Amino acid sequence: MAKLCSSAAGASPVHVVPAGGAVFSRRLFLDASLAVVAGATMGPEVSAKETSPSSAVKRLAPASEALAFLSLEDASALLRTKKYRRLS
Amino acid sequence: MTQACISRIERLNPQLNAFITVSTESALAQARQAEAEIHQGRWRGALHGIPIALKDLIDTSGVRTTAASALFKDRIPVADAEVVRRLRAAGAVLLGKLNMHEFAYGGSSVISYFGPVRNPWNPAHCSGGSSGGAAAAVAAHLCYGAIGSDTGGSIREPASYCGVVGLKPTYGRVSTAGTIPLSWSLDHLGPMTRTATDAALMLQVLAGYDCWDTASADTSVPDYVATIGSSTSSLRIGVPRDYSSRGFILIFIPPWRWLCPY
Repeated sequence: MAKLCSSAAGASPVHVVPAGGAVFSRRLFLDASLAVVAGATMGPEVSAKETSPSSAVKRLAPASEALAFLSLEDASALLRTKKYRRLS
Repeated sequence: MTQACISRIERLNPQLNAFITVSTESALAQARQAEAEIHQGRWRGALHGIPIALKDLIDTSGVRTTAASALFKDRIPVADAEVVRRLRAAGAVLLGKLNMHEFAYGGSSVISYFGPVRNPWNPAHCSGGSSGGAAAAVAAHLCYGAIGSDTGGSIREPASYCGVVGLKPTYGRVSTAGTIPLSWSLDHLGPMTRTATDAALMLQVLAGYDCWDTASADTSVPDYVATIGSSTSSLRIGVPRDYSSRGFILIFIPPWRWLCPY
């Protein structure tokens, strides 16, 4: 029902997958189901948190640190146009 | 901008431990010089006046370079690494040296003579490694970009842990001359930033032939920034068939086979 997949170099078998190109077996189905359940459980908790570390610290950051939240590209554009003093 | 980064380093680095050495005075001096040059109309390019930090295995003249090891805790190089020379020539402001896994030989940045690097998403977690300080510093906005090194994942892995962009360039594209090696035939230096465009801007400065690096590729450097928005429809992805079944846990096989139905 299943065949052993070995490396092209003929190394020892490393994994068992179903024959005939089918990719699902009972074991795979169970593993996939567990992952889905775990993902569904974690989802709300993750989404309730901040989407980036910066979004949390930005709110707490002093105004003097505002320039640090620019991307390198935007910071470079500001420097080039010499408009940074208005923001600092 | 430099002052903003230094303020953040002073406030957050005691918790994150991303920096081993902060070159406050010289960074402010470089920033003042860059400001003067820009006001005089001598803009050197995208990195002019931008605060950048370096993994602490990249030699910096007069600034200690430790590889996060007690063995080199007082080592002060007399010359800059090639990437540092290029950053200085581009007008970048060098903020300091970043914590890392000792001698880059590990993927957590927990093993460091200077203490573990904390993940800015959650300081109870590690930052990945070995360029953990670089990833944490970029993610926490302590600098606009950093240079990391990658021998077996040391840019890419901490970048993924900390949610930033980490680019391991093609071997020979960026000179490794002047860096403390882990494996000279596998070591790479590359940018770590918050956006892909920022990585392209940094790579544009870092890339190019260096006669002091025997592995350096003497080929032309493309315009990386210009290619950011171009179509990817002509790109081809190489799939190592053997690798697909080696070491993959079962749950990865179905999506892998669905994506690569060879």
